[in-house]
Parts: sequence; C-alpha cells; structure tokens
Amino acid sequence: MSEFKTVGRIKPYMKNGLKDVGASSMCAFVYSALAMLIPYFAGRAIDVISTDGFSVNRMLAENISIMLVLIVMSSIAQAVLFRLNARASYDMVFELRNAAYSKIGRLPMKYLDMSQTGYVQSMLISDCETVGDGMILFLNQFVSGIVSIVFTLGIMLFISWRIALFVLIFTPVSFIVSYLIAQGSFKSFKKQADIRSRQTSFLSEMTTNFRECYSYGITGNKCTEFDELNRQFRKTSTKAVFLSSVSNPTTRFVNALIYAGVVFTGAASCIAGGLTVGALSSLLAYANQFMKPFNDLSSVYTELSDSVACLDRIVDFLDSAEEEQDIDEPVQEDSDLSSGNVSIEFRDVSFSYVPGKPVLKHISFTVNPNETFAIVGPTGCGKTTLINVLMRFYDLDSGDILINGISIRRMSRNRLRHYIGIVTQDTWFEDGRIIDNLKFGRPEAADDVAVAGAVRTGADSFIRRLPSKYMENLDSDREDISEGQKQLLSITRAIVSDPSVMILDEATSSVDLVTEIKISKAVRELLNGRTGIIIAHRLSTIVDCDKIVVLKDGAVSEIGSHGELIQKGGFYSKLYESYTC
Amino acid sequence: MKTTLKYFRNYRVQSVLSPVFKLSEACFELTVPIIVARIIDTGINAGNSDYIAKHVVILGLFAVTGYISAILAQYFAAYSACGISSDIRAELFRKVEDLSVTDYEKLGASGIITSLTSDVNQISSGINLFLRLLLRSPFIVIGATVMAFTVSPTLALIFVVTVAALSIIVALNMKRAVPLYSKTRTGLDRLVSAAHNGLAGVRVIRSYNRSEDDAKHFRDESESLCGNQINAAFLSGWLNPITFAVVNLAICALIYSGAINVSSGSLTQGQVVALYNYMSQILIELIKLANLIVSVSRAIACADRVESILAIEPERHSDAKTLDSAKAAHSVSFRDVSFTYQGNSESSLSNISFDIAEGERFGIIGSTGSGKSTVASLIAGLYHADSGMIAIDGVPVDGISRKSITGCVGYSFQKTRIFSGSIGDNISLGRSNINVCDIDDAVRMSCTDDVIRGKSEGLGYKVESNGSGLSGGQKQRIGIARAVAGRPGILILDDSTSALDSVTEHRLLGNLLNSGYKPTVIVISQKIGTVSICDRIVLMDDGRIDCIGTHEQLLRESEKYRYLCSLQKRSEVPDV
Repeated sequence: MSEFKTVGRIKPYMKNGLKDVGASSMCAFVYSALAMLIPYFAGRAIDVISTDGFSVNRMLAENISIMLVLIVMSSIAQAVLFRLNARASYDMVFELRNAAYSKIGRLPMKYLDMSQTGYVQSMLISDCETVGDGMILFLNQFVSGIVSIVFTLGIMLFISWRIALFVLIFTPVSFIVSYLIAQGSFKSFKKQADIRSRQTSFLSEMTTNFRECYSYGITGNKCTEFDELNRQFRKTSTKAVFLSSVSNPTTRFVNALIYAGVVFTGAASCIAGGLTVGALSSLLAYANQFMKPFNDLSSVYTELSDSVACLDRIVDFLDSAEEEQDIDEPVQEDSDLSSGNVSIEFRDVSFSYVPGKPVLKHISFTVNPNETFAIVGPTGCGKTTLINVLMRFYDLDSGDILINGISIRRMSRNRLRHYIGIVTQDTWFEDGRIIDNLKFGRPEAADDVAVAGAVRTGADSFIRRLPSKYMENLDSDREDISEGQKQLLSITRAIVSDPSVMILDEATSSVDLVTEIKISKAVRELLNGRTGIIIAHRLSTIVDCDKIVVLKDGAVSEIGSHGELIQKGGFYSKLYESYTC
Repeated sequence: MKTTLKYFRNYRVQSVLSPVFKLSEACFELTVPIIVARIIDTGINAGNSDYIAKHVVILGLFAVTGYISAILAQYFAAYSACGISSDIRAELFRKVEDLSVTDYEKLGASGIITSLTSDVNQISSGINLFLRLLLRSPFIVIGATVMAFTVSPTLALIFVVTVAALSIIVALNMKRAVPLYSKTRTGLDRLVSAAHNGLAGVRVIRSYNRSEDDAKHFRDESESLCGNQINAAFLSGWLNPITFAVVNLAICALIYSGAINVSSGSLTQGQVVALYNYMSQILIELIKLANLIVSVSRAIACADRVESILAIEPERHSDAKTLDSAKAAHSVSFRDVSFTYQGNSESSLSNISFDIAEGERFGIIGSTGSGKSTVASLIAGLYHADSGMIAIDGVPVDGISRKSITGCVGYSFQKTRIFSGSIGDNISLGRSNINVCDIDDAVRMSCTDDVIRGKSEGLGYKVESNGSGLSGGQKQRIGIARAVAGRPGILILDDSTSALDSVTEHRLLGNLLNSGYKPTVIVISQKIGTVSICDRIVLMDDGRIDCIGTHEQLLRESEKYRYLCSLQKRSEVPDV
C-alpha cells in the first residue's frame, strides 16, 4: 500500500512530535484500559442487584467506587491525550509547511515561471491543513481504538470464549469493507485536491488582476468560468464525501448483525445455564464496545484518504528537482570582487528557454572594470534574458560568463548576487515598513544610510508625505503610490545595498524626466568606481556610457561608443537618424 | 450565520430527507434495548427459545432497514452540504466581482482567497456533519430519555439532569471556542498573503539573497497560526473528556439508585439493565455531539467571515444611465474635483477642472506622483471623486452604469497584468463584442504583430499570469491591444509606452492617430515628445493643474513646461 509509504514521509517533520505521540499513546493506553473496565464493574454491580439483603449494598458500593475512580482517571488521561495529539499534529503541519516554503527557494526559476501560482499556494495552505486535520483524527482514535479492541477481546474471551470467537471472526469484515471504500474515495479526494488547486489559481489571478477585470467589465465572464470550476468541484466532492461517509453505516450494519448473533447465542447460553444475565448484559456492552473502535477506525480510515491524497501532492512537490548545487571555490586575493574593480566577460553565450528556440546566440563582449555598458535593441531581443543568465536565474546552454576571470558557475549563487545589484522594471516589495524595504539588500545597515539613499534619489520627499513616513507599511499593490514612486524606492533599495556591479534594467521607464535626471545624477555617482550595465530605451541615459552593445534577434549586431557607432553608419546610427528626420 | 441558513432553501428536500432517514435509523437502534430486555425477561427467564429466535430475526431485519436509511441519509447529506457550499461559493464570487475597487482594497486579496476556498470548505464539512447528526443524536438522547421515563420516571430524572448539565457546558465551550477559531482564520489569511507575496517576489528575493529571511518571515506567520490553532484545539479538547466523565457518573448514580429501587421492589433487574443500556447509548451519542459541536464552531467562525463579505453594500447603481456606445468619441469634463486615497492624509487631486472635447487628443504630463493616473482612474470610474463632478458626455460618471463605462472607456494601465491563457485571450478577455477581426486590428494598431511574429503559435501562444516569457514592452503592447480592441469612445494610455523604444512608440501612436478609429485619446506620459502630438496638454503638479493649452501655448506660458522641454532637449537625444 503506497499510502503507507506516503504517510511515512511525515517522520522528518516530527522532531518533538514523536515524543508527544509516544506520551499520548501511553495516555491512550491508560484511557482505553480504564474506560473499558467501567462496563465490567457496571456489570458486576448489576449482578449484585439481583440478590437482596443488607450485605449487597457494601459490594455494590465497592463496585461503584471502583467505577468512580476509573471514570476520573480515564477522563484525565483522555484530556491529556487530546492535548498532546493536537500539539503534535499542528507542530508537524508547521514543520511540513515551512519545509515546503523553503523548498521554493531551492527550486529552479524555470519551475516557478512555468507553474500556476495557485498550485503552490493551495498546497501550502489547504493541503497542509487537511493533512493536519487527518493526523489529529487518526491519533485521537487509533491507539485508543487498538487498545480497546485488544482488551475488550480479552475480557470477552474471559467471560465467554465461544461468543468472543464469534465476534472476533466476523468483525474484521467491517475493516475489509472500509479498506475497499477508502481506495475508492482516495481517487475522488485526489481529484478534489487538484480541482481545488485550479480553483485557487483562478482566484489568485482574479484578485491580483482585479482592477483589470473591473475596468474591462469582464466580471460576468469570470463568473461563468468560475461557475464551471465550481460545478466540477461540487461533483467531485459530493462523490468523495459520500463515498467516505458510507463506510460508517456499513460497518455499523455488520456490527448490528454480529450483535444480533451475540444476543442469539448468548440467550441460548443463558437458557442452558452457562451464562448469567448480568454476564450477558456485560457481554452485549462489550460487544458494542469491541465493535465501536472498529467502526470508528474504519470511518477514520476513509476520511484519512483525503489527508493522504493531499500529503501525496506535498511529497511530490518536496521531491521536485532542485537547482544545481552551488560550487563555491575560494577567491584569490588579486581578484577580490568587493574592491569594485570588477570585469564582466560574456564568452560565446547561448541560451534558450525552450530547446530549439534560441534567445541568445553566441554573445561575446567584455565590460572592463569601472566601465558602464549600455545594451539596446528592440523589445524582446533578449536584453532581460542576458540579465537572467548573468544572475544565474537560468543556466546557460553553452558559453560562459566570467566575473574577474572566474566563471559564474564556479561561485555560489549567493556570492554572485551579493556583488551584483539589480533594478528591474517590475517593482516588488516585501510586506513591511519602507525603511526595511530600503535596507532589503543590506539589512544590517543603519537607518540613516537608507534615508540618505532616499534623499539622493528623491524618494525622501514623497515618503515624508505618507502618514507614517519611513515606518509606513508597504506592499506591492498599493494604488496610492504611483509606479514612478515605486521605481524610485526600488532604485533606492539598490543604491543602499551598495553592490560592486550595478545593473539597471529599464529602471527609469516609469519615472518622469525631472526625476530621472535627479536619479541619473545619483546613478552616475553610484556607477563611478563601479562596473555597470544599463538596459534602457532613452538615449539620454545611454549616450554617456562607455560602450553600447546593440542586440538584435539575440545576437550582438554592433558594439562601440556612441560616437563610434554613429560614424560606423550601421543599425544604431540609422535608428538615431530615423528619429531626427 | 443567519444568512448562510437561507442557502438551505434550494436543498429543502434533501436537507430534510437526510436527518429524517438518520432518524429512522436511530429509531431502529432505539428499539434494540427494548427487544433485548424482552428477550431477557420473557425469553431467557421463561426459557422460550422460539421467542428468542423470533426477536433476534427482528433485530436482523431492523439492522437491514437501518442500514438502507443510513446510506440514503449520507447521500442526501453529502448532496446538500456540497450543493449548499457550492451555491455560497458562487454567490461569494459574484459579490467579490461586484465590489468597488475601494472595498476590494479594504478586504485584501488574501482574505478573499481564504474565504472563497478554505472558509467555504469548512462550512461544507460543518453542514455535512450537522445534517448527519442533527436529528439522530438529539433524537437518540431525547428518545432514550423518554424511554427511560416509561421504565422508571424517578430514575429518568437522572437522564434529564445529565443532559441539561451537558448542554450548559457545551454552550459555554462554544461561546469561547468560536472567537478562537475566528482568530485562526485571520491567521490563515496572513499566511496566504505571505505565501502570495513571497511567490510573486521570488526574483527580487533571490537577487538580494534574502531567501532565508523570506522563509523565516513565513515561518513566523506560520508559527503564530500554529499557536492559535493549538489554543483553539486545547479548548475544544476538554469537551469530549468532560462529556465522558459526566455521563459515566450518571451511570453510577443510575445503578446505585436502581439498586435501591430494586431492593424496595419497584424495579426489576431487566429494567435496570435497560436503563443502563439507554444511558450507554446516550453516552455514545453525546460524545459524537461533542465532536460535532467542535466542527460546527469552526464552521460558524467561517460562516461569519463569509457573511461579512456578503453583507458589503454593492455599489449604488440606482437609475444608472447609459452612454451612447454608437458614438465614436465622448467628451469628458472635470469640475472642481478633489480626491484622496483611503487612509492617506494628503489629497492626490485638489480642485481640478478641465474639459476634453469629443475626439480630442489630450495629453497629461507631470512629475511622478502628480496625480496623472488618478485622473485616469476617476474617468474610468475605478474610484469616485470626494468632491466636484466628473462627467462623460455631460452625464455624471457616478450615475453611469458599470457596463456602459466599461464599454466606452478603454484604460491601458501602466503595468499590464497578464491572464493565464493565450495572447489572443489576453486581448479579447472573453468580451462578447470582440471578434477575430477586432483582435487582428488591435494587434496591428498596437504593434503587437511583432510580438506574435516571433512566436510560432502566434495569437495562441500561452502565457501564465506571472507573465514570464514576455518582456515589459511586449506586455505593454498587449495591454494597448486589449484597450483598443473594444473600440472604446475614450482611450486612456497611462504611460503605456514607457517600456517601448522610440521607433515602436512612434509607429504605435501613428497607427492610432491615422486609423479610422477616432476616439477621444488621453495620453499620460513623462515624455514631452509623446504628449506634444496631442491637441492640448495639461501639466499637472502635486495634484493641481499648473497649465493647460497647446504645446506652443504651454511653451509660452509655463516656466515648468519650458524647463521640462529644455531637459528633454538637453538630453535631447532621441530614444533608441
């Protein structure tokens, strides 16, 4: 049963949990053992009632006192066991969830770019929740159930072995029935989890793109799409829920038949004189008690199929292939990257996102230390892809990129990215205060450094107009902060992180000319003494660069300074001309 | 909770049938102790085997009918629970889609997602359990108590006291449990938000080597949720043991009093056994009820959250007017309009007034944060002005129906959001009034044809909502195609060409202006070059209008404008 293998994968996430489970198992043992003795003593008390006489009361009192003690102790044991199980389960879910989230950081960018947003989210939230609920259910019932079964069987055998055997033979039938039902409902639950994931993706997208939906009035269409998803979910869950709920009545039915059998054989024994009425009533109570845990266990087993289906998905995710391991070779003195004398060489770089559709074709050029290069070209020609491979978000198909002569493949990604600061077109911020966001690249920096950076870029003025100023909570979707202002914050963040290499990918596209000039000054100061790569459309930004690389269709078509390229009379100069004409 | 109950209406039949069948199953079960008592008193004590055999067969038959009832009950319960929660989910989705932008921002994306997925699922489980145990457990408890009265009225009082005591305990427990569960739901919201944000920012997080910190942030939220869940579970964890203890104590009392009654001759041993059996049955059902209460408490907390969303007032659409969508272009006027974003202390727009004539090409320029996009948002009806009036074709925007505005105003956002699907889908967005020709025209006009040429699947090229595989400029062009495809009478380009190179931008604007499609165009840009093609330009500064007029007029009258031009001229190197 592959389900057991899946369940076994929980173990690494149960560090303290195993102790809790051990303790709760002992409590469950105590609880079941004591609870089960209660009907026994009740039966003895009832037997005492049949005879009259003064001495009866003392025996009766004895039995009842024993019952009282058993009741108190077993209740306490049960309370403790529930607490331990809750803690063990929620702690396990906590660890599992975190493991899944940390996994995201190790997955290749390709996986994340290709997957539906809702898939990971649904798994982190809903699937983990279902696994936790299943675990609590299981723990609360399983050990006490097993103990119950064993002890009850023992007592029944003690009272009347013939009848006990009768019960023992037929009761496992209910377990087999519930196993079969569980197999059927497992498939339905898996399907349900898949649809739930698609639903989450859809909803995620709708809420993120809410303004688009609102302004284009497509909410009606979205409702229709959602209705379809909803309908599918309803169909699958009705089936799954129904199937899993069928096992309980089925096992109860089997139990009822067995009970009737016990009544028959027990009554016959009573008539024949082999059994007292009190013993029969005890036996009946125990027969119920014996079958009850089978009943509970089998319905738990089927409801567990939902949890196991979800766990399957989580385990698949945790098993996904990770990014190639980093090799981190020690750096020699003379090529210390932090001094700011960094050269970047692109050597015959080729790359394709999809095999057979190359985006970068044999790119070669070198940015010398302290030089600033500009990369220009029509949109979609591969400029951002160049950055993707430089930052090792994606690995090259062939060729190499060398930083100060060291291949980027021979240093850890962390170290590579530590030395390169990047500002992209899309702005994203962590859910936190502005000041923390500005220090995102260098969290150990003092607040003043961040504020100084904001003053240099001009972000300071609009930050001070916000209600909480630097303590204002930022999130990427805020509408009252314009795109341009967000980009200012993004640039400030990069400046504060003080990198050796600065890459600006269309960093000022949303910013107005006045602000851009202010930033350009700051950026120029920043690039002084650093190596830089700028991707931009505005010639004002790139004309001062040391060299301009023109990319066309993924290959380098021209390279040189502004003056040189104009003189050459190639593609670049034609673009320049076409504007001025 | 109350609003949720109204969804039962469509499932009246099934919601009634389920408990009824459960009830009939319970009835059959309740007769078992009586039959056993008869077997003991009449069959065993009189040695009558036939009597015993007959009654055992009756037990068997009752078991079969009970089973069939139970299966039917489970089916109807599953059908109702899944159906009702499905209806709630659909209604909730419609409500979310009908929200105003301000209300949406107040609720937050993660709250909406959690409600639509997790909360509704909890409601479903709650309803399912509720229907299955609604009539059965209380019926067995009450039924057993009634049966006990028929056996011995005095001893039956013990039953009544027990049930009453437990009801009080359960009520107290629920009162404290529901708020705790609400807390866990809020914690879940925050977790969804943290996950969503972390996934969206993967690139930036990795670039700044903050993956571990991001995971730690998630861990902290996760830990907080875990703590709340454990607290809630600890509280609920008392219910079961207390129920167990109370009922068993009642059994002790029962046996003791029964003994006294038997010794005084007012009760037989068989009757004591019957009473004991009834109490044992009650024990089982009350424990089930206790577990039911726990699940229902969770479901109630979720239902409350769902209801608070459903209770949000929809936008007022009373006597909504419509614009003449046959018109090629519309006029826009702003009269003394002021607007402040919710929660902000400073206003984004202060006393703005201007007119845009039909078919005019109107440019808006200004520094970052001067209020340009806010003007566009107000025209498109995304937000409502705090004071003053905005009118399209003389009709106040607030009084125009959503349908009419969305048909007449095409807003190309600065940051184009991509929907998962094909490029063609992203342009049409499923709008029924857009056919293939419209898409082709839009593609040509917006220079998206370059984008498509590069992809072998053309318009069918599939993209995910994170938009990877498309560069910024490509996304912007798709955004413009999207706006243009519907041939709206007002076209707003909010810095929609910022990621495009000058040649493409030039071509795009040329396409728009020279086509047969002649709407009112509002161009918002940072670049003088872009707005100078407009008939008139307004220069905005800090939420106010600095100057308005033609390019030449502004050059003459506005120092700020001249300064901007000089900046552009200085760096006046064209874009590449």
